[in-house]
This record gives sequence, structure tokens and C-alpha cells, in this order.
Amino acid sequence: MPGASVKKERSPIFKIVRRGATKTFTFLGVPANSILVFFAFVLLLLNIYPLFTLVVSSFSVQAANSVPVSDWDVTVWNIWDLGEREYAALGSPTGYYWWTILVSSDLATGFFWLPLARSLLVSVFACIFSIVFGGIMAFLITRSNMPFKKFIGAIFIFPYIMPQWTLALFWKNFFITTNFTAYGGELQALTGLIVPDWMVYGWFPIAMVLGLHYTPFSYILIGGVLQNMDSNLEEAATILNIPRWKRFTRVTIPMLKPALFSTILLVFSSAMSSYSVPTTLGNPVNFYTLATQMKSLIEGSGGKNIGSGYAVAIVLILIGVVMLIMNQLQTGSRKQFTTVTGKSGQISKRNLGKVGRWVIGVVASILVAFVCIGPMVSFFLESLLPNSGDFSNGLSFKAWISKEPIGNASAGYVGLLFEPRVWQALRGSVLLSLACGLLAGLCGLLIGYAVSRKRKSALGIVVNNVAFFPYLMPSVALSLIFMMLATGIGIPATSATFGIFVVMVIVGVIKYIPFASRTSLNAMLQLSEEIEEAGMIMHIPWWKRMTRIIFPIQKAAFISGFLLPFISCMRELDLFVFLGSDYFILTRFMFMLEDTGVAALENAANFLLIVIILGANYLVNALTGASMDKGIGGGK
Amino acid sequence: MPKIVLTDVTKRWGGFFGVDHLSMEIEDNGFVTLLGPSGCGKTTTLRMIAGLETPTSGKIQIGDKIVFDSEEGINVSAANRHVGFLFQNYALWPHMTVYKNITFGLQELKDDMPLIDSAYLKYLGLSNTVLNVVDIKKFLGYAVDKKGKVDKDKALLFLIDGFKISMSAAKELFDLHLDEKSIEEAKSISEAKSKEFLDKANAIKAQDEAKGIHLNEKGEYIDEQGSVIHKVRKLDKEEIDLRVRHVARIVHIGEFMDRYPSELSGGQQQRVAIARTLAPGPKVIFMDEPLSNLDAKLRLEMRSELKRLHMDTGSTFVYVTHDQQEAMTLATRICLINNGVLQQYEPPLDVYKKPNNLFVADFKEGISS
Repeated sequence: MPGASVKKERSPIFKIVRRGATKTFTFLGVPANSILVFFAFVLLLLNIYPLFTLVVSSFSVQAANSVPVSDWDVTVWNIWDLGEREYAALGSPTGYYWWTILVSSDLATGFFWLPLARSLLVSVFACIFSIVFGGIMAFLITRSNMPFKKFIGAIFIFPYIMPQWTLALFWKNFFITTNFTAYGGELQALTGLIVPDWMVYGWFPIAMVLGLHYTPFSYILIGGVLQNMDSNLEEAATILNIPRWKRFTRVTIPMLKPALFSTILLVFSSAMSSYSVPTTLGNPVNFYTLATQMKSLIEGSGGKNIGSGYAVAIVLILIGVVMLIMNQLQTGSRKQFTTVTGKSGQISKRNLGKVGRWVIGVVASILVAFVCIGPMVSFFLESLLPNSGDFSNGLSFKAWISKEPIGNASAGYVGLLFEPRVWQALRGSVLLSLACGLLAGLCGLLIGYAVSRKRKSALGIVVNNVAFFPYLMPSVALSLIFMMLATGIGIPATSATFGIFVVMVIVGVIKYIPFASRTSLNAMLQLSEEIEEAGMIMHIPWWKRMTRIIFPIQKAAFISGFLLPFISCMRELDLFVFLGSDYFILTRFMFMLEDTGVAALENAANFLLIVIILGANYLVNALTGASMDKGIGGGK
Repeated sequence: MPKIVLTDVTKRWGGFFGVDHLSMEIEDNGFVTLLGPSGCGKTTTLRMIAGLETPTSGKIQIGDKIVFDSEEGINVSAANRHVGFLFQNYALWPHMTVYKNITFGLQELKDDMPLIDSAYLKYLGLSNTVLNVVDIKKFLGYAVDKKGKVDKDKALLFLIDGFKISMSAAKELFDLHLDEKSIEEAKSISEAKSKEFLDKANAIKAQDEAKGIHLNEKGEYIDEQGSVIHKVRKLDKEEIDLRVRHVARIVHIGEFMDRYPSELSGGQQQRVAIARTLAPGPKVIFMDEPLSNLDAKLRLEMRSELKRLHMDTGSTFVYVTHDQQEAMTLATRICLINNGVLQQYEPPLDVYKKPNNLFVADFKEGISS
């Protein structure tokens, strides 16, 4: 055969190349592999490159005439006395910024160490609060015979769905006193009670609000385990006649440990990097945390300290990375147990006693209603007040329907429903959230699929971790990084152009891929691989296996993967503080209203936003059965 | 036809050998069981042949096609190996009915098949079937419920299974309502109907002729020389239905067509899984401990069922089990594996009488005599 003789004469190099090509082709022919290769490339590029730019920037002079060549450690106030100083050229390498935040005798404390201590304090308290409150509620709902479970279960998730700073505003609305404003807050108006100043602004309210915001989160994680835990494990201890408290501390708590640990890590790192809450409840009394300090370093002092801000941002990111590594070590350890066995039919419910159950039920309901529904009531009420906190002048719908400018005349805002800038911002928010939700959901779906199929391969592990990385990357830092990138390629970061919209979508997608990919990975892992293999064997092409077999079976979970980014994006502020104009999205718009003195309008807008977000959540829930709080429900 | 050849196939996870340099040949039309204690690498071997697992090294050949060769970097995906696989946990798609479970794969099936006009075939067949008035009345009679009324769904199933026809054809027969007529009346109706069906068939044929398509008596397209025209194509709806009904008859699941897998018992699910595996007509069928989830009685029944299937289909069966007795009764050859290493590969009685080594001798002790 002529073909065969030609084949024999091929050079060895040709053979190696052909073999390599065949191997590559076969490797990429498996959809999971090509997805992994694609995302490994894209995610590394979008995560590592910007980070690299940030680090480089923190080590080079960012503004002319800001970094002295020598005598760094001269007290700022004395600089002027020194007369003409010699400054390093723009862009030249310098360690000055890091020096200012870590070592400098007069700057470091205010720039970095004090904010760090405050951030730590706030985060630790937020953690403790959310775990204790969330844990107790989770226990009561899943493991006791408390009444009103359905009601509590239905609304308990609200604080997590609401934007963080709306809770902060609620706190302010409610507790503020005449020490700070003309009329005080709702509590004072209703009861005449004047709370001490530390309850209004400072570490305590910040910690409480962050704690409240993350309470549903720990409630979901802990409750999920409590509900799905194989009751045989506890029953086995009961049969062995082990006392109840011992059973709880030696069996139940250890089983909960992984959930507790990840709750702590996630709440802690989220609280560390929160920007909007400390801004609302800390800035008025000059209480700066790391995140707010970073923003003021970057935007204050005419850009002189911008590099120090970058350095602080890097520290924030490092904290996130440490958390990620700790989480990884924890989940990688051998004490990782499967708590879901599917056989948890009869969980024994703790009897709270005939009177006790009603007392506890009523107290819990009131508490939860205050935290979860209170904000909405407060916003609505305040939106009807011409002067914030002043109930004496009666109520009016001006902030909603006035066609005349209200409040500060120079801003020229008319009533919410007729204010074009509100509608424009709402449109922006919806478009942005739709784009982020769809893209992040899709990416997450593909990543979850590919990782579940190849989770033992090096590539699978890399993609899984890189996809999760942005979760612990502080939103403000991410926002900052992409502001730098956008400016770098000539898109003015505070504009309202299509270019900046694209940048915002990219940031959003990166930030929310962790949610989406985790959700879809979990859904994939619940699905036996045989289910797909059965289709594979029958020559069913990959996309059809995805759309006709895998997706329909785990529909609810996958749709959660689209819903989570959508709702997160609707309420997002921190991620976009450096991006887009003030009128571009609803959250930015409202946050800006804070400074314009039209409290009623701001409250009306808050009310509107919460209603939209809860409505979206409810709608998707009703349509698909997917929801943010899937996995734990009251009444069951 | 498909002979499966494994050469030096190895599967390694780090330093652990799942399958260690396994070489074997599975002859065409054989029934080979892979036997061994749990964790010995039999399932891995099966999955590697099917393409669900990638070997670390070695070569696998199915028929005359090399489907895996680590030297050359060849790895044909499971979708293109054209094999059937029966999963241990059945892997029925929970969101599809039994019918949909079976048809889903058939809709994707693309093969070199003769082109046929199934509408013509249907009416041609009906023109004959409709004349069996006595049988039709008998089948309809089976479907009478307590109130003395004919249950339509049941009746259709009896007609489908009785005459080996499709659902649409069965509906045509049912719509004659012959149960309500006397024999004489029914006979005259059926004769008239038979003519009508034949006319329909001929009309279809004439239409095809007008389009330049010639049909033979089997409904296949033929060219001028009278030879059948083959083409790589998908199955049409009627053909798919006929195939589903055919495999459903084999494993007796006709009445479950509209149920979801969760509404079936373990044994029924298993039969659906078998039907789904058989439907595309694979030449090689792999089975991964398919009987391990069944109770003892059903297991025995299914065992003989599988043996019968093997004879009926003429396919090559590769069967994984850890049950010595199962292996002995079913197999034409037993492949005994331990710790990923092949111990003995011979017909059952040879393994029983002349064990190669101590392990084989010890392992066959599990067989009750």
C-alpha cells in the first residue's frame, strides 16, 4: 500500500508533533477540559494581572511632589518649616507608601494601625453576634417545637438580602439622638429615650449592623447542617445513654464545626472589608476602619496619599488570602464529614415546654420582625417626614410625588416617582444586575460542571481556587483595582459611558463567580456522574446533556446560581464605589443622597430598593423554587 | 464484528495501581464476566473500555477501531464508541418518563441504515393486521375494567404488544371500536378498513414514485438496480416508537411508559435501564453489577433474562460482578481479577476445575455446589 510506505518514512519529529497534536485535540475534545483551560486563562488574567498592577503601583510614586526623596520621618506638620524639599519623580520606585502605613512615627498609627485595630474589633464582634444569634435561631427553627417558624423562616433572610448600609441607615434612623440632629430618631420620638452616643456612631453600631447583616448567613449554614444531619448519629449517642449536654457538645457541635468555621471566616473577612456600613456609622465621628481609611487615603489630600491607599488595599487583600488559605486547610482536612445522607426523616424536636414554647416564639418573632421588617417600616415612615425625625409636622407624600424640588434646592430633586435620575439609576442597576447575573451564572455553571468532572486534576484544583478567590477579595479593593485599569486604558472611571458599564459588568462577574460556581458545583456533586455518562454512552452531544439532562434535574440549584449574582448586584455598593457616576446605579445614587440633606427622598429610595430586591427574590422563588435561602425553611 | 482487545492497560492513581498491565481479548458474541473481590479494579476496567475513564497507559481496541492508545494519544470519547452501558444504580434520568428515557438516546442515534417510508409500512401492515378481528376483539377484551368498559390505555398496550405495532397504529385499530360490534359487523368493517388502509399505503407509494422514489415491499428505498439505498440518518418518530415498544416487550415494561423512575420499584427501574441500553442496538453491552440492588428472587429471574437477552441480541456482553455464582452461571468466560492484576481468564468450568493459583482456588470456594 503506498500510504503505508509513506508513513514509514516520516521523521521522528513529525511523529512527536502528530502525537502531541492528537493528544491536545483529544484533551480539548472533552468539554470539561476545554472549559477549564478557558477559565484558567481568563480568571488568572483577570485576577492576577490587576493585582500585580496594584502591587507595582504601591511601590512607585503616584503623584508629583508627594514623595520626599529623603527625611521621610519628619513630622507632617513640620514639612512646611523645612522649606523647599526634594521630591521623587512621578513613577519612580519607592517604599515610601508602605513606610507611611507601617513604620512612620506620626502617620502609621492614623493611616493604618488604628483602623486595623478598629476593623478587627468590629469584625470579631460581628462574627460572635451573627453566630450566636443565627445559631440560636437555626436551632429553634430546625430542632425545636417553637411556634411561628414559618413566619420567622420567611422573613429571617431579609437582612442579608438588603444592602448592608440600608441596615446601617435603619440603625441611624432609629437610634440617633438630639445630640446629633435637630429632632433625633424614631426611638427618641416615640419613647423620649436618649441612647448614649456610642450606640449611635462608632464601633458598636457598626459591629451590630454587620453582625445583623450576616446573621441570616450563619443561620443558613448552621441550620442547613442541623436540618440535614443524619439523626441516627445523635440517636446512636442516645442509645448509649450519653447525657444530653454531652451529646450536644461531643456529637452535634463537632458535626457543626466545618459550618461554624466557614461562617466565621466568611463573616470575618466580609466585615473586615465592608465599606458602606463604617462610612455611614463611623465617618461622622471620625471612626475609620481599614476600608474607609483606604478610600479617604485615595481620594483625600489631593491624591498625595494615593499610594498609601493602595498599600492598605493590598493588606486588605492579604487578609482575604489568609482567610482563603485557612478555609482551604479546613475543608481539605480529613475531618471533613458528609453531613447530608438524605436519611434525616425524623429529627427529634426539642420540646420547649407548654408556656416556654409560646414565650420563646413570641420573643423571637418580635425580635426578628424588628430587625427584618423594621427597616422597611422605618424607611417608609421617614420618607413621609418633611424633616428627618420630626413627627410633629405630620406626614406628607412629598418625597414620593412632589413635582416641585424638595429639600436642598440646589440639588433640585423632585419626588421620587417623578425624578428622572432615579429612574435612570434604576434602569442602570437592573441592566447591570441582569448582565452580571446572566454572565456570572453562566460562567459559574460551566466552572461548577467542569470542576466537578475534573476535581482531582491539577487544572481543576487551580480553576476551583482561582474562581473562589474573588470572594475574599474585598469589594472596595476590587473596585479600586479596576478603576486603575479603566483609567489606564483611557476610560474615565467616574463617567457614565458604555465603557465603564462594561468594566462594571466585568468586576461584577468576577466578584460573583464564586457564588455561582459554588452553587453549581454543589448541585453537580449531588448528581451522580452516571446520570451524564448514561447520556454520553447514548451519543447525546454535550450541550444536549447539559440542557436536557443536567440542567433540568438540578434546575432550582442552578437558577439560584443566576439569582444570587443578580440580587447581590442589585444591592451592591462597595464593589462600585470607584466606578461609574453617582447617577449610574441606584445604590450609588442613594448613597450620594445621604450627603444632600434630602433624608425623606433617601428613605423613599431605600424603601423602593428593598421592595424591588425582595420582590425579585420572591418572584424567582415562586417561578422556579430557587431562592437565596434554599436549604432551610421554617415550618418543616 | 466487535472483538475487544486490551493491551497492557494500566490505571494508576499516584502510586496506587487500580489496574495493572491488563491484557485480554474478549471474543465477539461472548459473555465475559469480570469477577473479583470489591475494589479489585473490575469496574475501572469496564469503565475504561467504555470510555468513561481514561487509562494511564495501554491500548484498547473495539472491533477494528483503536479507541484508546496512550502511545499515539488517541482517546475516542464514550459517545463515539457505540457501546451500551448498564449502570449499577441504573442512572435513569429522574425528570423524564420511562418512554422519554428510552427515546432520548434514540433521537440522537445516527447510523448507516436503509432509507424507509414508515408511513407506507404502517398502513401496509395495518391492512393485514386489521383483518385479525378475533384477536383484536380478544385484546380489547383483556382491557375491560370492572365497570365493563374498555380502558383505552390498557387496550392500546395490548394491541401494541399483541401485533407488535406502534402506538399510532394501535390508535387506528382502537378507533374502530370493534369491541362494541358483533363478529359479523366487525368483520365487514375490518374488511372495508383493510382496503382503505391498503389504498392509503398505495397512495403514499404513488406519491413517492411521483417524487422519483421507488419502494420495495419492505418499504425501503431502492435504486434502479433494485438494491436498497443506505444512508447515515436518524430514526423517524414511527421507527423510534416501534423500537421502544420492541425493547419494552423484551423486558416487560410496556405498562410503565408514562411513569417517572421514582414511581417504579427497583426491579422495574432495572428493566427500564436495560431497555434503554438495548434500544439503540449496541453490539457491545457493558454491565456494572446490574443485579446487586435486587432481591434474591428477582436476581435469579433477571439472571436468566440476561442470558436470554444475550442469545436474542447476539451482542457481546461484558459483565462486572463480585458474585461467584452469578459469574459461573452467566459467563462464557470468566476473567478473575485481584488487586488490578489478571489471575485467570478461562471458561467457568476451567476456572473451577483448574485454578491457576491459590487466590483463584480460594475465591471459587464461594460457589455453593
